[in-house]
Amino acid sequence: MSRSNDVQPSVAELARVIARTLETYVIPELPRSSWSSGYLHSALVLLAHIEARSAGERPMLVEEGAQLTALLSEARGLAAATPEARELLAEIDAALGLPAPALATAEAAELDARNTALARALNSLIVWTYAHKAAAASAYAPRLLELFAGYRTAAAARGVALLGDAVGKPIF
Amino acid sequence: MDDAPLRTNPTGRIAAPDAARYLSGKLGRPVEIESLKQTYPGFSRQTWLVQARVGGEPQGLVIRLDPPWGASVPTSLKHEWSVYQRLWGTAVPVAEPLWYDEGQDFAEGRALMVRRMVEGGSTIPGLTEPTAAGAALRRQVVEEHVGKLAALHGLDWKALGFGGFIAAPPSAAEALRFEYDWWVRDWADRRSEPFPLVTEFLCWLGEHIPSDTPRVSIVKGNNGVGEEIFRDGRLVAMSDFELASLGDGVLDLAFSQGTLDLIPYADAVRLYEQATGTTVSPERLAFATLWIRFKSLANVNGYAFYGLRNHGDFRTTCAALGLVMSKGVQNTLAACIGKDLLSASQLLAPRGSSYASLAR
Repeated sequence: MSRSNDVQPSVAELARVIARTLETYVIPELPRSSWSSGYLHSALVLLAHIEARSAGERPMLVEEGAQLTALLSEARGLAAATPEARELLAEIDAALGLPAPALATAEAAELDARNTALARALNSLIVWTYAHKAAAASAYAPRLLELFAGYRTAAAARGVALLGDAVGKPIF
Repeated sequence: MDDAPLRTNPTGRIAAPDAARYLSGKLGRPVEIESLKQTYPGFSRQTWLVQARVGGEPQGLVIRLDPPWGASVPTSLKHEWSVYQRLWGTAVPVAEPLWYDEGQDFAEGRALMVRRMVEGGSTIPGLTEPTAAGAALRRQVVEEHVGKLAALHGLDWKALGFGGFIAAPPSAAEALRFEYDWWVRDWADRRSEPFPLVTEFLCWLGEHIPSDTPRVSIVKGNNGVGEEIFRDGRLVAMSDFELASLGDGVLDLAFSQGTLDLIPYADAVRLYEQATGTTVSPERLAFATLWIRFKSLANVNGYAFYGLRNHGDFRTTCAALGLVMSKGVQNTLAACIGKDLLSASQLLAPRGSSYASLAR
C-alpha cells in the first residue's frame, strides 16, 4: 500500500505496528468501559486512519480536485444563461479561478486547500439547485442532480478508503 | 489545528482538598470528601461524583462542569442548570439541583453546577441477560423510560418557564422545520470541512419535513440507559440535559441510545403512543431517525472536533469521532438522497442514534 518512494518503514507500516502492539499487549490488560480503554480504542481508530491516509491521501486529493473542477465547470456552462444564478456563478468562477497547484510537486495541504474552496462552491451549487430545480433551473436540473450523484459515489468511495481499517472499531 | 495553550490543569481534574474547601464554603458546614470520581465517558461535560461527610453526615453530591476546552455541545451549562431547576418537583424525576456557580478558583473559573446524588446507576445489571428474567427486565426498563419521556413531553413548558431560556418553534406544525433550520445554520458555521454530501442530504431532507407534530414539547435530547439513573429497574432520575430543546418529542424516540430497541421498536413506539395519547406517524419517526443521525454528526464534528481544532481539547475520542466517524456517517446520510423518507430511514436502524453507537 505504501508509495515506493516512502522512507522505509513507511508511516503506514509504523502506524500498523503500533496499533497491533497496543491491541495485543495493552488493550487486554485494561478494564472495559474505562478512561484508559476508551482513549486507547479511539487512538487505534486514529492509527488506522493515519495508515490509510499516508498510503492514499495524495492521489485522492488529486482525483477529488479534478472531479470538482469538471463538475463545477459543466455546471457553470449549464447555468450561464440563468439570471437567478448570477451570484452563484460568481462564486463558482472565484473558486475555479484559484491558482491550481502543480500536481507533481504540490503539498497535500495545497491540494486540500483548493479542494476545500471548490467544495464550498459545490455546496452553494447544491443548495441553489435544490431551491431552483422546479423553476429557474428546471431545464438542466436533472443533469446537475446526475453530476451530484456521480460526485457522491466517488466521494463516498474516497471516504471509505480514508477510513481504512477504522471502520467497525469501537471508539469508546 | 492550533497548538493548545499550556494549562496547569490540562484535563480539568478536580482535587479533593480544593473541592472540600469549596463545598464547605457553599454549604456552611465542614465537608470531608471520602471519594471523588469522574464518570465515564463524560463526552460533552465532566461529571464528578462526590461521597462526602457534611457536618459529619454522609451525603452524595454531583459536580457537573465544563471541561477546560469548553463543552462539546451547543448549549451552556447554565442552560442545563435551568432545565434541572424547572423540572425539579414535576412528574419528571431529576436530581435535586443545589446551585450554579462560575468563577471559582478550584475549578479554574469554569461554569459548574452541583446537584444531590440520586442512589442508583446509569447501567442496569442483568439488562442483557438472555433469560426470561432478562427479557422481563428489558421490558420494564423500556416501559419506565417511555413513561418518563411521555411525562416530559406532556409537561406545560410555558407554565414552567422553559420559553424564557429556550427558543420555541412558532407552532407545533413548524416544530421540526424550526429544529431543522437551527441546526443547518449551526452546522454551516462549525463543520470542519464543506461536507458536500451532507449538504445535499440536508437539501433532500428539507423537502421531507413532516408538519404533523401534535404539540410542542420539552425534548430531552440524548437519552436512555447510560444517561439516566436507574435503581431496581426503575428510572429514578433523568440526567444530562445538554441537548434539551423545545420541539417534537418524536426526536427523543430516535435518540434513545438503543434503549427503546431493548424490546421490538414498534412495541416501544406503541407504548409511547398509549402513554402520550398521541399518534406517531411513520413519517415523523422516519424523519427523526434520519435527523438524529445528522444531529449526532453535527455535534461530534461541529462541537467535539471543533474543540480539538480550536480550543485545546486533545482527547483521541474527539478526533476519532469528529474526523473518522464523520466520514462514515456522511456516507450513510448520502445513501438516503433521492429515496422516499420511509425507505431512507430503513437504511438506518433505530439504534445507532447516540454518540457512542455512532462508533460501533
